[in-house]
Amino acid sequence: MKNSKNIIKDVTYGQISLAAFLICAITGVLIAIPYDVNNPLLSLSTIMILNPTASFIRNLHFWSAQGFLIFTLIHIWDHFNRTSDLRIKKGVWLRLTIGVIILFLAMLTGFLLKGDADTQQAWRILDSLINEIPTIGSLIAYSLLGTEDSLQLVYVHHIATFTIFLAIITFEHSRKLWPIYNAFFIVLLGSVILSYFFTAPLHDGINPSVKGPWYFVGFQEVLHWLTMPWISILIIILFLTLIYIIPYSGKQTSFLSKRSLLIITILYILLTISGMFFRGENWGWIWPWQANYSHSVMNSFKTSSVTFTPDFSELEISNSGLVDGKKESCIVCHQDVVGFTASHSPEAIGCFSCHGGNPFDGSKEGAHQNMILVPGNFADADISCGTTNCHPDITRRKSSNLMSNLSGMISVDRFVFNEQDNPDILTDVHHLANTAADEHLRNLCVTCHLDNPKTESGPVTEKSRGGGCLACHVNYDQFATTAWLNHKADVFDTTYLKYHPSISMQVTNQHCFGCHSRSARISTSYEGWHETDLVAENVLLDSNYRLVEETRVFKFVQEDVHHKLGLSCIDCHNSYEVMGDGNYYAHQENQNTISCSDCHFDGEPATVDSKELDNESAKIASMRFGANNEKKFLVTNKRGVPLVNTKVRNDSNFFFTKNEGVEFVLSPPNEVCTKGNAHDNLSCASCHSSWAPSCIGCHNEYDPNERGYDMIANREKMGSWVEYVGEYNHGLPALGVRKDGENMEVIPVVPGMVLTIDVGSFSKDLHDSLIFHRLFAPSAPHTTVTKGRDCKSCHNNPVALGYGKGKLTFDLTNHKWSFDSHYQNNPNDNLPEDSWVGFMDDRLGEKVSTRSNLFPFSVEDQKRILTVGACLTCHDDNSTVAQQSLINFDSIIGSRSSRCIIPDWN
Amino acid sequence: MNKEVHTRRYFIKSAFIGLITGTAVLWGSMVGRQKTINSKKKFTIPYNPNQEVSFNDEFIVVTRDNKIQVLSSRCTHLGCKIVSESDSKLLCPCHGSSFDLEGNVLIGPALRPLEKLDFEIDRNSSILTVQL
Repeated sequence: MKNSKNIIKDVTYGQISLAAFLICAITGVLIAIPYDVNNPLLSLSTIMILNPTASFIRNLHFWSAQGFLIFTLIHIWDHFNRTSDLRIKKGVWLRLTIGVIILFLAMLTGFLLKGDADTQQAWRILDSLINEIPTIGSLIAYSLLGTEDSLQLVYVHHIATFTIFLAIITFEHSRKLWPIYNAFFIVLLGSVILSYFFTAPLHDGINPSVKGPWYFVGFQEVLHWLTMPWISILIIILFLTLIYIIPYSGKQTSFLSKRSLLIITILYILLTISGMFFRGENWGWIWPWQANYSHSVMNSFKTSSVTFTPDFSELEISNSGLVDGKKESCIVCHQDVVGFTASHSPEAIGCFSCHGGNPFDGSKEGAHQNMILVPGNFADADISCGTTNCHPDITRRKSSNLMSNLSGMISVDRFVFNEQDNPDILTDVHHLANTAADEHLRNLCVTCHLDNPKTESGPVTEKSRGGGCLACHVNYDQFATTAWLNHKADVFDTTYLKYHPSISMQVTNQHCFGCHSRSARISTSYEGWHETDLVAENVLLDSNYRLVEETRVFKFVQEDVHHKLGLSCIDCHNSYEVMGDGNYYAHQENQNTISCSDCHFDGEPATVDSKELDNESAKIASMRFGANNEKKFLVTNKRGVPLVNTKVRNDSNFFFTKNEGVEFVLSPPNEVCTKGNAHDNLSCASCHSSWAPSCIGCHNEYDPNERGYDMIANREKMGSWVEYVGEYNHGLPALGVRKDGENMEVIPVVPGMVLTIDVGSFSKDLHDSLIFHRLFAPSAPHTTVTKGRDCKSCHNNPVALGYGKGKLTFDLTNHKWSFDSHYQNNPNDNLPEDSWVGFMDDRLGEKVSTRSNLFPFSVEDQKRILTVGACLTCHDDNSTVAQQSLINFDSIIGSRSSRCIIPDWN
Repeated sequence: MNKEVHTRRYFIKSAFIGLITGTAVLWGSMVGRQKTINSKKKFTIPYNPNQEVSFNDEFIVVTRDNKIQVLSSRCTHLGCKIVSESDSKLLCPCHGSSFDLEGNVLIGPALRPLEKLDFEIDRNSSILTVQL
């Protein structure tokens, strides 16, 4: 105790300040050796990563400077409280008062010498502030800061002008050049400890938050509130005046001045705290519990200890490249990694911009701290793929994408569970509650949302779900795949680190397959495969059968004609469909813009000139197909989205596959499609879909003893909804009517939800009971064929009319249609299991579909369809009568012969 | 004697003031000249008609409805470089000012709109020349 008292004996704040100044000056001379004022960022990043001793000296310079500032201010305050000691001449005190501002300028110029993103902005602020001084502001600003592209003057003032001034006034008022040993060693010890554990900051160039040094952050907060920055000059002058008048004013004035300074100091500390801990990107206020707080605010505090034995060899050091004009520790170790596309190569964007970590740490452990192994997940997309210089305009839209928020799926499920009256309510997968429907979604459905994180590296497979940006944009080539598989087999095999997957626009059908081989199964249907209820072990797999996810047995039916031609999913589906366009949509048919008639049209197409493309479309078009100069593109009829893989030239329309660039000449629709107006309201898919999968008779109940899975929390749990599937079928889809205001369109529909749900098994509430629904859903079968279905396949087909399978007969003797169903009636509603409506019924007023705008044919519609059907019992599709009826059916009926029999509806 | 002192003191004082004034004049003249020499007048960049907003060191090019505008990237509050846009707002990273794509202030502390810069565009070569 006594010893420690002896150590600090005679150690004053002034002595500590002097010691800190001395250490700062000596280390400043030393750090000038590796520092290059012409390449400040490169030289500092090189120091930090590759020269630990220099980094340590830089830290000493930094921490002793902070100590000098803090203890000088305390020293001044200490003197105010010991007024008897203040016997300084007025001239000296004036210079000391000016010294306070010189001290801050010395600190600020040191900050500017980093040359990083923070300091570029700080330079401009300082320049503007000084320019606010009337008359001579411009002169001082230029003399002090020089031009923006050179730090030469700043460097000179930092190492000479300000340092010499501070040395002179220090000597002038204290008559000392050397601190006492005790003070020197105390400061040195403190600086060494701080310098070892906390490396001086350097902005990574990626983080969008811009902040000044800690002692300036309070001032930055003041400036945020000041619309007229010149007021801040007055504040500084007031501050200096208060300091100046204290020793020479009367007792009362001195007291008031000191109180004012105290209040200003306390306020400034509060402002500094708010600026440091609650201000983030664009100086926006952000609370610690808000998303992105860590990245936006705490990034300023990111530091590491000095590693005196770096984890890499001298050879690696000399070979390591540069990233955006600076060194990154990542590419010192990870050299010669292959597999990147040019735009995402380490030379272009480094590793840090995607993977995070600490790019200036020389140790493996430090560099990997807080690293993102698999970037692009939506939780971190804003700080990886979506950083300011990369793709922020896309990641901003991510939550509006139906594949992210699953609004349609959730809303329909709640509707089916009778938890809401409308299936079109907008919602989000992150807003699931604990209701029966939401638990059902958690257990069985929502694993497919894009926000579901990809947690392990590896190629996209049919088992992949989610993964944010990487769900579509990661590709493992043969080498990367082999290396990754070898690593999976032997964790010590690290060859995979040399083969990076590419991040590119090569989005294949495989990327879509994992999620879209389920539910509506458009991925499998597109390739021609229909899921069966066969058991894998019982099937002899040949070219007619295929296993998906090792257990699901698919049978080949017929592939989509576009698939046969080599078209991928993304050849039709544009970036605004698959990544969202910033608007929220209830269902996928609302979000999608593409339709068959965008490519297969009669007459003049809707086009857009290359110069009028939006930036995203232009960028995609030029990256895929070269310069856009003078090109003309087709646009979708819905919302006018450019189809970047089309080209209109000399009255011909061309289409290109996006991944391979194969060219096709677009063909107009068949003559029969546009003949007359009888089928004007039919969608192309209602005729050209060769088949669609369907499932009926499904039963759902909750089993508390079933081992289940929470697909949001991604964890196993006890108790789960269990789905007992009914019967898988495939065939020509039924048809329904989608009404949109005055417009109506006939579209393919399938039995989306013909099922029972034992809600009581979940809630145990006696009032809950068995729910039965017979809801059909709109379908986009993705099984397009060139030749559309024939007349009878609709007009004489009970499935098309919504009656379900069975025998639909027109009795020529009594002129009546009758229907005999294939399936027995379901006791819940006395309708055949697979039907949508009963014969000559339209279930008016009932819940009939998974949309609020989708209905079965009305009774009147059914009569009109079956009247044609009656004609078709005698007249062939290609007969003159049938062809003329396309143009004016009422006229044909009116002039029919006496032998013609039309239905009697009475 | 006193007169002599006064005369000498007066002379030294006058000489000192003259020296200071002379130095200030030289300083002002030198800096003014140097500023003129170092000031950049023209920037030439390739123009991308598809990009609604593109950021450059000294200016922002905004293309909307076939109309091009070149705005200074210096925030009118304290000169910070505006480097990002969100929801058709130009955002100042330093103190939180935001501007619409015409350069008008939406949220302070900035009071004045972004300066509109003169420019020329060569439609054939798509080269944009901006006059600072």
